[in-house]
Amino acid sequence: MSEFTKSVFKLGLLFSILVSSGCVRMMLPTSETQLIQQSVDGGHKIELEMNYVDAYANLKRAYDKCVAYRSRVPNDTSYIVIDGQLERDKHQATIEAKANYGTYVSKVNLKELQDGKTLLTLYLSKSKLLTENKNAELSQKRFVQEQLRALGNDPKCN
Amino acid sequence: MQFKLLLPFVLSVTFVGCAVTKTPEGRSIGMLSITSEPKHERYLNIDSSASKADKIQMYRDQLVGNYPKQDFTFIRTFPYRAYQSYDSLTPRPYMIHTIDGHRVKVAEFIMFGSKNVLLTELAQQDLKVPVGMHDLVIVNGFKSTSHYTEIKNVNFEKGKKYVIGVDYSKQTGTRLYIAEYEIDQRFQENEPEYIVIKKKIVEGIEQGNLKHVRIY
Repeated sequence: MSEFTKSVFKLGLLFSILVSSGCVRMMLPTSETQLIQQSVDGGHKIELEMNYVDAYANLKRAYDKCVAYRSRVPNDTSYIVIDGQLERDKHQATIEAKANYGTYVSKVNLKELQDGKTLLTLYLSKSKLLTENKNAELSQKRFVQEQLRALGNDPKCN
Repeated sequence: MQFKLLLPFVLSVTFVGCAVTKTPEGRSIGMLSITSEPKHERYLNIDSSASKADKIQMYRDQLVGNYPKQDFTFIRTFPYRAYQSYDSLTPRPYMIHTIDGHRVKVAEFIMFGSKNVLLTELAQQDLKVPVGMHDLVIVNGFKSTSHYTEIKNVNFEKGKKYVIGVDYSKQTGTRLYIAEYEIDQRFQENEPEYIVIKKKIVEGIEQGNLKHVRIY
């Protein structure tokens, strides 16, 4: 193998490592703060007519069933893990979806309001490959789905 | 000549392994060869082919014979997320090692056995413990290190259920507690949210206050 081929091979290897780790981290949020700052429309909010623990239990079940993901393709290590946190003392709960390289996909906040109501806030990371309009359209669709899941009415996931 | 004498020692340490025990006072008893306890002291006397349910039942009821004519209550370990999978990074769960000097035994792990009950599974089962004041030693660990924590005068009351858990902060490190709890049926038994801590009967116990043991 010539010196030139070796150099090209090394550069290619370096490039693929950078693409798979650094670039992913550049494109997607790597902290909760970044996710909230970069989320579509600064997050979607709605009041739900239900207890925040019920909403959390419903959402967690749906996330475990329909959002959590681990690739079964050999050598493909992509995944989405769910991190749920129920803080009864603070009357709130959060569910985060995290992907490879410490990146954040989405975050849902559930906060107890008066009269047994719950404020649901969804933060969704913006796709930089899509237009603003397409991002808004997709996030709205996901927000509707999120409400259904929180109420336990998504037949596929609840 | 010296080499000939040294060789058997090196080989025995290599093949048998050794343990370093560190006391809370910082005293280190180092490089002791592992003195493994007899199996009957560590493991439940149950056939390895017995069903998982039978093994769990025997684990739960094992202290009944040691405390005749006494009422019992239950204690289990908080279902931390780390205990819900089994791989090389799964820690050894917080479990009662001894109660008033009586050893709490576990089911023996049989290589390639299909009816093994893992420590993480046993820890999340209700172990019957006698009501009243008792001295406990709790063991937990990660990889080759085990922490032994002594908690004296723990008062178990009739009709209440208890859970062993930990609080962690950078200032204080890992501190154990034993608490009364209620269950939240909206969650599954292996989810942390299933346990609702009500009242801590013991808290702030330094992890490993009795000793730390590391196996090499």
